[in-house]
Amino acid sequence: MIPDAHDFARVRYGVLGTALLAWVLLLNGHAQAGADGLQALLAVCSSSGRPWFQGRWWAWLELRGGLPGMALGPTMILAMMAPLALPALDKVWRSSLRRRRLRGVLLCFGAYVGVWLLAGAVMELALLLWTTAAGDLKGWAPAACSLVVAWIWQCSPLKQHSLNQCQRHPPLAVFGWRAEWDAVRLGLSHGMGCVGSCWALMMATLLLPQGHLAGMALATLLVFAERLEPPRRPAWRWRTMGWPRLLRPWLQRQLRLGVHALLDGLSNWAGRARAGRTLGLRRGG
Amino acid sequence: MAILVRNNAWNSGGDFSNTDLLWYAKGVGKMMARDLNDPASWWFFAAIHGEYVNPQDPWYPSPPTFPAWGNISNPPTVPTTPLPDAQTQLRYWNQCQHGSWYFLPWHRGYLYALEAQLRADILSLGGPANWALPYWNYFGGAKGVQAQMPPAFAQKTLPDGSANPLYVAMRYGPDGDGNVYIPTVEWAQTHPDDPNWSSGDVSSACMANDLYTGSDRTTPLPGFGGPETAFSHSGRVHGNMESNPHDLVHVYTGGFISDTNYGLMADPGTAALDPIFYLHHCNIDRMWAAWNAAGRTNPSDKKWLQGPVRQFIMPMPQHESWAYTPADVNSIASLDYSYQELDAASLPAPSALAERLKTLKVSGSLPDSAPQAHRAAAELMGASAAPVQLKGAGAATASVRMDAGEQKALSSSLRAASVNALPDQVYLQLDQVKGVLDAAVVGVYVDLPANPTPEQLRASHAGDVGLFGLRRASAAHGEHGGEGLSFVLDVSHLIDRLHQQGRLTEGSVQVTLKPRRALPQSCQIEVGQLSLYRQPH
Repeated sequence: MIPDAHDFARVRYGVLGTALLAWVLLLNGHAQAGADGLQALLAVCSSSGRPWFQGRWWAWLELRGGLPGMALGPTMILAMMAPLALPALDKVWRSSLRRRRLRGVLLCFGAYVGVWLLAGAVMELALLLWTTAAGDLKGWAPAACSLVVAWIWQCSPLKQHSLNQCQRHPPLAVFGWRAEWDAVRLGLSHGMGCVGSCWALMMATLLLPQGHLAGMALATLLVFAERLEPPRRPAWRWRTMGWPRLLRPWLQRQLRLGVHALLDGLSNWAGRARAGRTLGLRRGG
Repeated sequence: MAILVRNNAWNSGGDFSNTDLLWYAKGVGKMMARDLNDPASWWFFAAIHGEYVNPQDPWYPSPPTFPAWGNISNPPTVPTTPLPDAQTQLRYWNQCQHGSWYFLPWHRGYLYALEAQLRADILSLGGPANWALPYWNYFGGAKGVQAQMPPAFAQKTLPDGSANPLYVAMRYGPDGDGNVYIPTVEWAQTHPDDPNWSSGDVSSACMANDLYTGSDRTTPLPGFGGPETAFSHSGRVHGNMESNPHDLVHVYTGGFISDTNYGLMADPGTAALDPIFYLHHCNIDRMWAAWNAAGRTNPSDKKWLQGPVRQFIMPMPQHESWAYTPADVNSIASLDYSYQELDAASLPAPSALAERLKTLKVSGSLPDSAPQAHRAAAELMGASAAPVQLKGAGAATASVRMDAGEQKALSSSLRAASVNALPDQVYLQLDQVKGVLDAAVVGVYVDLPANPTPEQLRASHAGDVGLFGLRRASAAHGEHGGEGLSFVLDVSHLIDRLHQQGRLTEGSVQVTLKPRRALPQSCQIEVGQLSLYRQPH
């Protein structure tokens, strides 16, 4: 049906709040572990010092800063990718009976995150095999190579095809087990489109020898900005990694709307305060 | 600046005795003489609305056949080169807003810019400085006679014998025979013997709405002007004014011969090539202005006033450009023009709710209420299990199963209905409608018996949907990932009847879809899902 911004607000803010919490945890881990702390933690995920290669697989569980090592990958995924699931979740919300709605949304979200976790594990395995074959990958060279690969992928028709898939949401069954299955299937297909679109950028952030958080933040911004563009026919296309053409006007518009909302809010508050004082005077009088 | 007045195209009989139309023809002719990549050309302006001239676009037919511009039968002779540079195309072309609350303001700005260019050209040809775009009021005239297309558009030559730029070969009308008229309610009443029309489809019932976006007791979803959206070139659910009369006038004016030979007006990517397009939209703009003149207000929401992220921009004469927002075109007075007829008193009185209360045997009169959007969202009640395919002339019936709990809640609302506790509104959604024949119109019926009589057809009629924009919305790599069009019809009055007959507890509602004209043999339209929603007041 016609999307209702207010009706979906709980889900939207829930997902955005989850992403924000994930960023806070990552930043907290960075702050508590010190400037090099998170680098060391993330180095566990990156190409250098693979603990299981060196027989120290339990290093995944040893963390300074209070962040369980096994949760680092999912936390990164939630921080960067959770908001991209919103169009699929909105579809499930609008297409579900009220009594099944939350279940459908959770199933869809779970399937979406599951695809990303699997993709993350595959990327880790690929890096492990690469490290096993070629030795530790230190320095900026691996990251530079991965950025070139990411840029080629960005310009490829497969990238556009995957981006377009993220906008494709078929009708969902309403009754019976098919309703739940369709929610899962939507999460899976949306996740696969997302992975197909963003895997190269994720890989590049993993290979950064330092500045992981900044790299993650930039990648998140770029991935979001891409979703502002309309779908296009898959083709080889010059696509810059820089400031996408709609992101700046989008930010300017949000800023203007935010300022207006703040001014309206202040005006309403002032009006109520004046009314309250007047009422007080009348009572006193 | 002096107020310019847009006049009725049917003045002086609607032929070239009407000087507005004669100068329009000359201005169009001058614009048509320019190149495709010239922002002052007819073709460039048409592409601003939508085009099939750039093979890189996701909706460009592959292999290239109509509606690709190179496959349009002349007149007019449509150029396909030279294309403007990519940046210019990205900035100006494929801007038209559909399925959106921006539909009305975007088109107002579009007409304003085209009119400015035409006026400049007309002035250069010795025409009047106060020339303004005429409108085609298909609801006007005694007994709906102005539903016929003004004769000037059917003439192949101008009075001086030269080719008439207003004449277009690919304009077939609702019966596909070149006779272009709009089957309005009044028109159908004056043609009772026409077997094609047991009732008129096209109406101005939307003018009874009192809410621009959203719904209230007088205005069904999604509102007079359309739903809140971002930039929406190929939108999903069309607003009430956009659905009827706008979409239906487009597809009925265009008409079709086959799935690869349909009228230019029927498809957003070719519609603005046909000069009748601007007279149609001038009437839509006039109706919006009349709606405002009756005291109905446009949104004050900053998200509407400021427009979407991608800005609306038009070329203006002397190589200028004009970037505008809905705030800039909020009223015609701010743009210094008016209309010959802007009679607010002619707006239909709202009666749908009163009729419902009569059906439900509710006594008493409705208290007055100011327009205010419902806060309650529409709840899904149920849906069909499988897609519905439409082929040929055949009707297709689908069963829309209802959830027991939601059906009970609806029945309870209808039983307890009073003037102070209004009954739930019920909507039927046709979702993911896909195909390539924009020129088709599909009639929608609820609980239609087999072999229905004309009276039964009228009694079960939920509405008609014109598939304007179908091809572009179905393009696999187009906007919304090729999910097709969505339509929302208010079926409250039909559900009330089922309730009164005690049949709402059957657990499902039968919905029948029937093309208004038999579809071409190779053509198929698919409706992905039919679903029912109820909205408490």
